Amino acid sequence: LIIEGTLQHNVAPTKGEKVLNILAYGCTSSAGPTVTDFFDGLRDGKDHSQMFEDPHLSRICRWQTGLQNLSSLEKITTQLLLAWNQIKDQKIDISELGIIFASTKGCIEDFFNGQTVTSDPLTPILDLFIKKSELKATLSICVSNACSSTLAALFLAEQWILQKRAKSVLVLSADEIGPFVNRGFYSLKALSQTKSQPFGAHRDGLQLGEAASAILLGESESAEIEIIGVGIDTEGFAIARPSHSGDSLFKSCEMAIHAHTPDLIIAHGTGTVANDEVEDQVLSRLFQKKHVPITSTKWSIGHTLGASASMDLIAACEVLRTQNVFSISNTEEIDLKFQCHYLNGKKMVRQFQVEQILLTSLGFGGVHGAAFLKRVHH
Amino acid sequence: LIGLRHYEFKFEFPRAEPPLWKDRVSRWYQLDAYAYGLAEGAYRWMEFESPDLVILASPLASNETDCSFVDSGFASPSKFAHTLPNIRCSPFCQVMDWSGPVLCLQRDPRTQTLALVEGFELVTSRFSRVWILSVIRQEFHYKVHCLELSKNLSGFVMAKNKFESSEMSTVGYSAADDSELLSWFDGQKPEVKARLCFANDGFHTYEIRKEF
Repeated sequence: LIIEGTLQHNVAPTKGEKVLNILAYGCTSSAGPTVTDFFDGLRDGKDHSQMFEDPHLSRICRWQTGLQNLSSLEKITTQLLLAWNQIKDQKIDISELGIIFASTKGCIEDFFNGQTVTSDPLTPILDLFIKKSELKATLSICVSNACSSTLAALFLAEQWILQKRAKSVLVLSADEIGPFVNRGFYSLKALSQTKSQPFGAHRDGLQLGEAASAILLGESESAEIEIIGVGIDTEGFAIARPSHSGDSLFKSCEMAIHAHTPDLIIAHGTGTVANDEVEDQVLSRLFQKKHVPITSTKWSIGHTLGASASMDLIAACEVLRTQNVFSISNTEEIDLKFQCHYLNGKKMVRQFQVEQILLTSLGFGGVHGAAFLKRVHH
Repeated sequence: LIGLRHYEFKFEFPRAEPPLWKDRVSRWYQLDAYAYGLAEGAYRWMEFESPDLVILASPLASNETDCSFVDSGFASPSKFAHTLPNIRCSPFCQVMDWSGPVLCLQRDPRTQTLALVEGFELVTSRFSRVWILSVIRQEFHYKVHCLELSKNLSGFVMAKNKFESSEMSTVGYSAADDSELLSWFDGQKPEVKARLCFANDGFHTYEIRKEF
């Protein structure tokens, strides 16, 4: 399946080592309402999935909240505000702020409760968040690029800052797993009947998860994390699976890494047969025999859809900050066909020097993305 | 100044006959109206110079297909696949034999207006040709719109100006939402043929006018 030859960018690569920083971040997930809960779960090898009410369906990683009686709009906005509050306390200058909300289905669950629908399902959440947070946004928009939504939002945020239309950009990401989404994935036969085992020999599908995050981007000389590059690409192959060649994901990674080699990769790693196969092929082709270690997060907090890349981004920031690298704990045995070097099994935390991390993301409809992060030494 | 062209066509859905592009899209008969419309647009416009970035502006997202999936008793995987609004770009790429960056944007009721602003800014700063694609349901049919932006295009011109509140009241009118933007292109408001101005961020206005 390996394709020889060099791919050509169909867009001009961005200007090398630009300085776009991650200034602060916060999140809520099935692990709990803070970044610490999320990262501790990864380090401790904890799978946060629980059985869903409907026994025919799969295990789900749900938010730990008492918000069950709220509408989706209120529930998701509350989670985003919880994530934002973790940033707000750091008192960073947010004048000339842009806000982007990334999600696949937003508050879609509300649309079948007899309400008159006059909008897309993302805009009401962004509007309510702006109202409740009392933030003054000069620009605001929603991005819905399937499971690569956060990386597409990051791509747009980078443009806003380079175009000097915003000094800082708050990228919000969230998805809720209600009956609509869960039954949809069930109809696709994409859900694991056992547990999520990314890159495993016995992987049988994904488990869904809920998460909300807030990531503040901007330029700062004192920031600890720099985004070297973001790449997005869309291919016309098939609606529900990536192309066998993985060319589009390969292009996204090339755009993001600018010929650098990462010390670690946090892969999309859904645990589905097709996705993991394509990722392994693309990453082995990109880095050949360099044996870059690969880990992932979905085995712990589930596939959080539009928020999944934001959770990977936060995990990457925490790895760069703490130098603690987590494994893919659920996966005991890696697929023997795979060529890359995966960190799996019960050895929970490894410590080695990590200066640069690559993230990858694959989405339905052939929308793919990658981001490359670097630790800044002061 | 950035050049701007507007293409559009109407179509009815579902169709009785297979489309001319049927061999380019696997399972074309499972597409929803929106994916079908964009595939048809790709077939009509495939001889044009290709974009290097596509913005998919999706007013009302995939609400119509979402309802259809619920009506199927949550049982149809092909309907569920189309409940992501970016999916409709896949058959577009298949027919055009194109790949590249796509941004799927939503901000109702100004989804297309703000997508146009983002397209303008991306052509100004980095990309040479951007297409903004939308499919809109009208009463008995659907309409596909393509707004093409590039520095070397004849047709309309688009510019960005500093915000002057007095200008907004005397020149053209402010496009508050997508319906006003599209009706301007349709020429349904003869009193404001010459120019269209709309505000975005409180600091700037964007202006479209016919190139004479």
